[in-house]
Amino acid sequence: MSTSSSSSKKIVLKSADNETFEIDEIVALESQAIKNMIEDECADNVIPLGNIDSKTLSKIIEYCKKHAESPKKDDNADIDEKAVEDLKSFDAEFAKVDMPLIQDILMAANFLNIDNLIGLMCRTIADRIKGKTPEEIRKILNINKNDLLSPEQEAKAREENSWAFD
Amino acid sequence: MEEDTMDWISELPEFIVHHILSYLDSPKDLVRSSVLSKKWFALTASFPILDFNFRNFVKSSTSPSETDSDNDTRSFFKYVDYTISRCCEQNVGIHTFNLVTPLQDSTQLDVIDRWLELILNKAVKVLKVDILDVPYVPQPLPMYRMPNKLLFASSLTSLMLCNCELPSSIMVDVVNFKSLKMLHLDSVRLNEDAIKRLIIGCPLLEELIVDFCYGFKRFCVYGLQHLLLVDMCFNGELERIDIDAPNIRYLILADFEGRGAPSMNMALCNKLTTLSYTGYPSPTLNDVTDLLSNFPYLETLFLDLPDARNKLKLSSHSLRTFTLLTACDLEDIDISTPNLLLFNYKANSHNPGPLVMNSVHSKARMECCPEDSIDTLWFPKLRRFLDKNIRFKELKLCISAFSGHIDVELLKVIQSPPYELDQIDLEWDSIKDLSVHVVVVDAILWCCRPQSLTLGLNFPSTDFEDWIHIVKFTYEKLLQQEDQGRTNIQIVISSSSKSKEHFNNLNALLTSLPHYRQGERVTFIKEEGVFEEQDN
Repeated sequence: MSTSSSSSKKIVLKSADNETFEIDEIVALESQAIKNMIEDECADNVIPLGNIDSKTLSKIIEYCKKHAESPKKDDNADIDEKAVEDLKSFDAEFAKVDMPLIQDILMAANFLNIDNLIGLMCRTIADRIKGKTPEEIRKILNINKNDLLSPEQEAKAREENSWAFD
Repeated sequence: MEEDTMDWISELPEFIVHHILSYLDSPKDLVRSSVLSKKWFALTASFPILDFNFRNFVKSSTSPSETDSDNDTRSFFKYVDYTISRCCEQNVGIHTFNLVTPLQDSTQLDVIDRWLELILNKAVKVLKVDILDVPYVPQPLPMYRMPNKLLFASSLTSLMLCNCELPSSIMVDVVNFKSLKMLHLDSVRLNEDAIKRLIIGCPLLEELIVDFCYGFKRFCVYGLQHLLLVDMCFNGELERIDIDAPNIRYLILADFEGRGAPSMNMALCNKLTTLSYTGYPSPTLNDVTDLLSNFPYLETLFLDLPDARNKLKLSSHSLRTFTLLTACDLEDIDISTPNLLLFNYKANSHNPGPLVMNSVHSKARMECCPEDSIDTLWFPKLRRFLDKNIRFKELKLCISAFSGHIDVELLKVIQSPPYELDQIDLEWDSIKDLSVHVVVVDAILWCCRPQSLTLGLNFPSTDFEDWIHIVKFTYEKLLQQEDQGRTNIQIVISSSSKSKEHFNNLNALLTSLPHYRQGERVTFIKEEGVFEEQDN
């Protein structure tokens, strides 16, 4: 069954701003990094996450909870389909946040090694830059002005593929 | 400085940015992202997935000259050339190279040769070359022939060639596809010797797909230890298929010219348990049994008969799951399969369904999607079918469209005891018309007497009256089948995969209604025993 039992083991995560979050171990195991720590028995009662703030961490826990709860594949085919739909709409809702938070979640998901969440954030970023001009994308991604191509380089790249810049 | 700290993309590992790029499926977006910054310029150059599909390219470039396909092809070639040369300057391997392109003139044959030379030096793993047919070419071009170097591509794990020629050296060189797991050839000229050389050169092959290929009468596959699946769409020139692969499980065959199955020998494939066959098994159709005699270990069969004018007769001892897509009437189907657990009958073949079924049934079950125009007479046919064939214990009926007419009063004239079943499932695919629900429930309960029945109902939440009407109607019909004093009917309502509510009888359901909205599934369960009349 998908519902977690009340007697399950708890893990405490501590954010950069010293907020603690107590979660079921099964939820924490969504993170490959934490899973490895637990398996290597180098996780204390409290796992400090010095580079993740509480706002980001609570979002990530929300995500892991949902994904840990939803039934995994190879259950009954009917339930599978429904659960997949349910998870899809959860993911879509989850990704409706502003770009700075997406960045923070992506960085943290990379640090914690949560594959599905990395994928979701990457897809979200891709969706937001689809069909936009380079100028618009630079604004969306807040690209460093010191890192722009030289005018000659950019002109050449545009000229080579003029069809893409109409 | 704040500006310096803001460029978070630079802090991400390269693979994450490549992950983002992998979701940019339009070439336009990819090219645009390459000019964002120095970082992005470098990251787009090292992106190891080179996916060049002319169709996507045309969709993506909305230049004013949209009718000028010559011009499109030229820009496409320029774009591919630019991207490949940028990528090959990087000191990285290439994972995927997909090329789906038309050819307009013979110089382009050389250009593709040059690309493939470059790509094959980069330890490419996934390679696809698909040459599109160009409808109006003044001078037909020769077919593109893959370079000889292809045969040494030992890093390849997946290779698809469509509408091009195999390297000319295939008849002399040793094929060295020592990592290849998937080989897909589509509209490629082969011969028996070339097939043999290819097969010997792919010791790890798991999937072999050969569609619309020509030039051979025999198709032989020997000695591939890892082979799991063979998928063939064959034409009339194929006379014989021989497969001897100890681990093959799936065989998918389609006869696209309608000339019937070739002779087959796969008697040694004792793990070959799943067969999918589309087309006529034999020109006379009489013998699906003949076809099946080639597959003594068969457990799962998908049969798609395009137009069945004759009777269908089939027998197999090993068969457990049988899906039949056919216009063939239930009356003309005669199956003798004592171990069958699931018979899936679809008169509308537009929904073939999955090849592998997850659900395991412990009792013999028939799932049935009849044609749209089922009528009064269909139910006696179903009744006779249930009697004649396997002793089914469960029946699922899925009505996806309804244009027929059912006269239940006429049915009731036919004196025939209902067929005893453990369970009936009734599903409605997008039918919201209450009268259809009522008449089908009435007719199916003329036909069968189930221990329990589940209705899948998807009325909009506004149609509560309809919902309660069909629930009441079904309840009463089920009760009429029984000795009323001795049978109670329990009702279970479930609205999602989680919540379920039980009611001891209809009254209990009706009295608790105000706080209960309609569910998606209503199950009625008959219980034997003496029950006191419920007070009204």
